[in-house]
Amino acid sequence: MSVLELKNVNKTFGKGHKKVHALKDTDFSAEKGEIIAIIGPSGSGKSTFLTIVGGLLSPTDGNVSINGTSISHLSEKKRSKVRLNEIGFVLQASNLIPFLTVEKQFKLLDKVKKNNMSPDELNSLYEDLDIIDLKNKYPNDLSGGERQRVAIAKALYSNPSLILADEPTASLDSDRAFEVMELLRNETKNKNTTTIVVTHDTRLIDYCDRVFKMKDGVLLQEP
Amino acid sequence: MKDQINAIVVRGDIQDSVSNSELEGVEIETFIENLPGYTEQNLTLTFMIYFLFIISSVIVAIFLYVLTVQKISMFGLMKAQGISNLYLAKSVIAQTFILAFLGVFVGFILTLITGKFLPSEVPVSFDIVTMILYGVIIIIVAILGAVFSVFTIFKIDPLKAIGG
Repeated sequence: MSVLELKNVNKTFGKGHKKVHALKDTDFSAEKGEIIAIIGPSGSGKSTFLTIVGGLLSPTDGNVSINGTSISHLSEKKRSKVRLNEIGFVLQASNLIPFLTVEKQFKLLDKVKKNNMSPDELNSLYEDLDIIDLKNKYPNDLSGGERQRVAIAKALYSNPSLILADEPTASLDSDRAFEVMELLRNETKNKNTTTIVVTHDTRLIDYCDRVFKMKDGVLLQEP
Repeated sequence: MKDQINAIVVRGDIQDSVSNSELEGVEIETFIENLPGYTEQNLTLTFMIYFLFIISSVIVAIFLYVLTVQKISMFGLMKAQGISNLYLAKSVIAQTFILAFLGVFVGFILTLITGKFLPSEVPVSFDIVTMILYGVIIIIVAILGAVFSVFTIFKIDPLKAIGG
């Protein structure tokens, strides 16, 4: 069973002549342990793809399922539960809460959700991502690279089956960007999760198992 | 000197004292209330207190709303990560309670301290029961104000948080 499966998914915005077909007849599936890149210029529909896969938007038609459970027609409340339990987000601007220290970001997740990593696992995650010295710092005191590493740790902490990264390297220089991709790849392989990276940066595709190109709402696998 | 009256204040049951005489018996309270201007002045004071209640509840509600609005993007982020509306609502209301309670508590202490330093000529008395009652009312009003903020949180679109 695929971790993520999209069947004939369409998404349109607006009505009449203003209608935008953001996602056209998309079929897609992702397996455990895979890291997949989706590249395309801005406006190509890749953000729409990510929000639908992430359960933030419902598709106009078609079916999206995560671990065999269809999420396309769930209420916002149920989708929010799916997001909490199945999906880890790594966002462009970082998904950290500004007034919590690094350590407390994880404690907040403990409060809202069970089955997170154990303290030992968290410690080894701290070490893997080299953020153990940052535990008591606030996100604003971290550099871009550090912040993104903490964001990755936070996404992994809830043991999600799917990690969605939206331009995870946007605010970083090349060396840092490669480092972050390397980490994402390693963690995907080690934890046997699935990672989808949406980016317009073609240099990152070397780190991915499969690459898809998004153009005008059509998703095509690159050879 | 036509408008002048003489009065005698007596203890005990007034009817015993005035029976079989041409005196008119009046309770002290009724007498004071009928003094020219007394009721009017009291009414003004009461109005001032009620208006202070309305003003302070508006200020508290706006203050809480601003606190929430400042954090909209962050609430959006939390919602995107799947943290439920209910959890956020509970946190906001609990935090409001703590803020309002501390505020009322500090105000209470400061009022009592001020009272200690006022010279005895100032006609002021503190009724602890009334003060506690008003304090409780202020806390309740603050929590009602927080409910408005909660509605704002419900309406936040998590999509905006990730810039979709």
